[in-house]
Amino acid sequence: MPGGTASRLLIYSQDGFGLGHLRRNINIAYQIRTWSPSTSILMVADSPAAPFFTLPPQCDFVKIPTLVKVDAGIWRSDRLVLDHRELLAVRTRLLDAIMDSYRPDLVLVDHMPHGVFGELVQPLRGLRRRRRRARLMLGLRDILGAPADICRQWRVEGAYQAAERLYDGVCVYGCADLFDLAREYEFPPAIASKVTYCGYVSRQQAQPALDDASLARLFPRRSDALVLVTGGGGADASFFMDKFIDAVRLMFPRVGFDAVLSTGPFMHPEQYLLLRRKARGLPIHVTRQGQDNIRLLQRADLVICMAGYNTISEVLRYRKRAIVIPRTGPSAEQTIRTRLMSERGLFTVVPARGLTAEGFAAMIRTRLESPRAFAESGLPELDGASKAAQHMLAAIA
Amino acid sequence: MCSYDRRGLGRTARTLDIASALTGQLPQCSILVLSNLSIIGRFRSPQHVDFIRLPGIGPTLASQPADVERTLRVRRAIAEGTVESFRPDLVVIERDPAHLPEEMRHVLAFAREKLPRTRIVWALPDVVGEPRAVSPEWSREGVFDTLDRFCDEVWVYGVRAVFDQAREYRFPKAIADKVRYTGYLRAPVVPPHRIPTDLLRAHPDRPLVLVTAGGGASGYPLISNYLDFLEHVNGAASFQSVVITGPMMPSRVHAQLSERARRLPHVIFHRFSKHVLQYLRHAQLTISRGGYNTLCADLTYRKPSILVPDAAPPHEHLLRARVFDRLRWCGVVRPGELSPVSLGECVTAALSGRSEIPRPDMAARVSLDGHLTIGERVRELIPARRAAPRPPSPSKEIHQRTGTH
Repeated sequence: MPGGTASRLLIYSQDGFGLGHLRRNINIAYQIRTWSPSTSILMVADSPAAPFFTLPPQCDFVKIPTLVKVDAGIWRSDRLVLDHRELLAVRTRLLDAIMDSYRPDLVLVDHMPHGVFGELVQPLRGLRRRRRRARLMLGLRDILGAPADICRQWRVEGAYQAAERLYDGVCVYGCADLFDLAREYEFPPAIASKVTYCGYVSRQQAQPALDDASLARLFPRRSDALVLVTGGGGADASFFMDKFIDAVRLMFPRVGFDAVLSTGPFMHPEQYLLLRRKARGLPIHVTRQGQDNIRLLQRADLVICMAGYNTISEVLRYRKRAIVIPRTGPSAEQTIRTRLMSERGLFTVVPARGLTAEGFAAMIRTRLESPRAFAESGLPELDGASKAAQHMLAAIA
Repeated sequence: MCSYDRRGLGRTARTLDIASALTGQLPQCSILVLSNLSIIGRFRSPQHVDFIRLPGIGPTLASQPADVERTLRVRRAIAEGTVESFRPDLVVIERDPAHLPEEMRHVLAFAREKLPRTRIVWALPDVVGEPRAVSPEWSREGVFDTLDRFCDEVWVYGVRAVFDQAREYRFPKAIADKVRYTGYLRAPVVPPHRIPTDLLRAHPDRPLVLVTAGGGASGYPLISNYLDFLEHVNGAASFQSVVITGPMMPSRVHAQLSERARRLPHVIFHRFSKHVLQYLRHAQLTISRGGYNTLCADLTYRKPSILVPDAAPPHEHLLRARVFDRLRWCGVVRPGELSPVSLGECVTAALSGRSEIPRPDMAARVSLDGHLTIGERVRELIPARRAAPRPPSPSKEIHQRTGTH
């Protein structure tokens, strides 16, 4: 296994409003540290909640001013009253300063080869010039969006050019037999030849499942089953969570399970309070803290979630029964992911539209009673963190 | 605004509050906060305030950097990059001026050179530490020289009549002339009807004692002694307690204390709570280590308080406790005297009203208008041309255009 030399890795994780990329990158960071304990890692993030998850040792983070994606190709400053050129100039200048002072041996850029508005191009070129031995890797999740949209965006924004000219390799955190990203997004041979499919990334050395004592603290009178309801960062999860509480209310008092409803840190505070109020008297524990989700998930008999990358990776990794409600916009990422995976029978998909309390309740009952989650043969590769870490360490060995 | 915390989170919490007050008073003002606090993401950023988090140094941070030199280089590069690209009209520094003094010196020299018209202010809490320690350290570390050469003003978030920093720390005349006492910083308003749910479920007829250990990194002695005291009275205490250890208390220590608290009746125990002020508002007595922010909250809500300062140099907490004690604004349990018995006596006396200790009403006369004074200083320091609204951009939302290369 590579390792031994003290090297420095810089990870660029653009999240804006959310935590998904950050979480995947931290999972990879843990794996890299496992194999190469002398590597130090600097995460450059822009999520206002960063780092949110516990970082591995010898890993620290920088948070730069936040840009929020409003729609495909449309961004705004999250907080500052600044003209967009000013904010971008600040970010580019900071990225440049970080590259120049940290002098990484390896840079991993997540999902935007050129960064927001091309903010990475100049800093990466600068690094290439000043530090020839530095290696640049691009990491792409399994599915970025509808092929037509992504191809157009990449063309217009210069992402193909950046991917081709700036990077030594491209890691796809997915499987070609499920979604052949290089073909779907029409990668020219110069990029396609650099692509490695790593499989789905989740935390390999995950924290242990939540113990009975902790569960007893949440639910003094425990039921037989545990349902975890999670919406990732939580910015747009209140709709199905609200419907879930309605469904449980219908079943009450013969609910037969306890539920943890993990709203995520980005749910609007008023929405969160509404959900809390609404869940009163029901066996539902509502929480904003999502750090323990993976420990809860391991104990859950059923997971009700959206189709974000990390949640789905964990549902598959722990072979959980799941009811998945994909986000419909702004990109088609989640609908494509759920379509491909439900075709393999990996979980039940429910469109958010037309979701009723009665239907939801019936589905929860059916799923809880169904004996088996799914056929192993349908599972994609799930050791993406290992493969990606291995690939990246090999690049600087 | 540059805010560097060492073991706690007080400076960054304070800076975010000030930023919030400032953007409230100056609607076109954007504030970028530079902070090394690893858990800054847990705070809610005010409107028009964003932050940059700098990598940390030191054993209490979440991760230890392998290479302090490199980390310092990255921090300096980020700070200078921010100065050059954000081009602030005003820079406010909040950090211990004697800690890594070279770091700020470099950045301030850079700011002076690149942005000659930008105003620079160094902000200090009401007391920094024992005069006999602070004054020589500041001369030795070149602090006076930095304040003299680079800073337009020195703000003290306190009151001269309470503690005259310029005299106590023997500021040279040139620096003494730059000092502005802003008054203490009033704690944010908490609506009285907002009650944390766990408190709602507790006993409304029992008096409430709030015990906080600030950031928590060195909060063990206070919390442990307090739990000892409760264990000693064996659940027969006539009051209830809310204990908040602080998010920076080491996990193992926290787990141990939490386990002890769980066996006690009438104790609500948290590591971090966004509702500290709500608890405080409903408390009859607060016990803290004498951190600046907690004291401001005690003054704002006129809460009787007992301070249990630690003995770490430069003795900021100890000195503040002594100053407040002299004014009879609080009770104090000195570091050498901390025991379950001494703490218990203090609590019992304070709650029974027998005590002559906490007389918070006396403190009502002290200025808590720090945020207003700071707003006035900012308006005065930033020339009118820049305080005027920026020309409106065509739209707040921006559209990604063709790639730049």
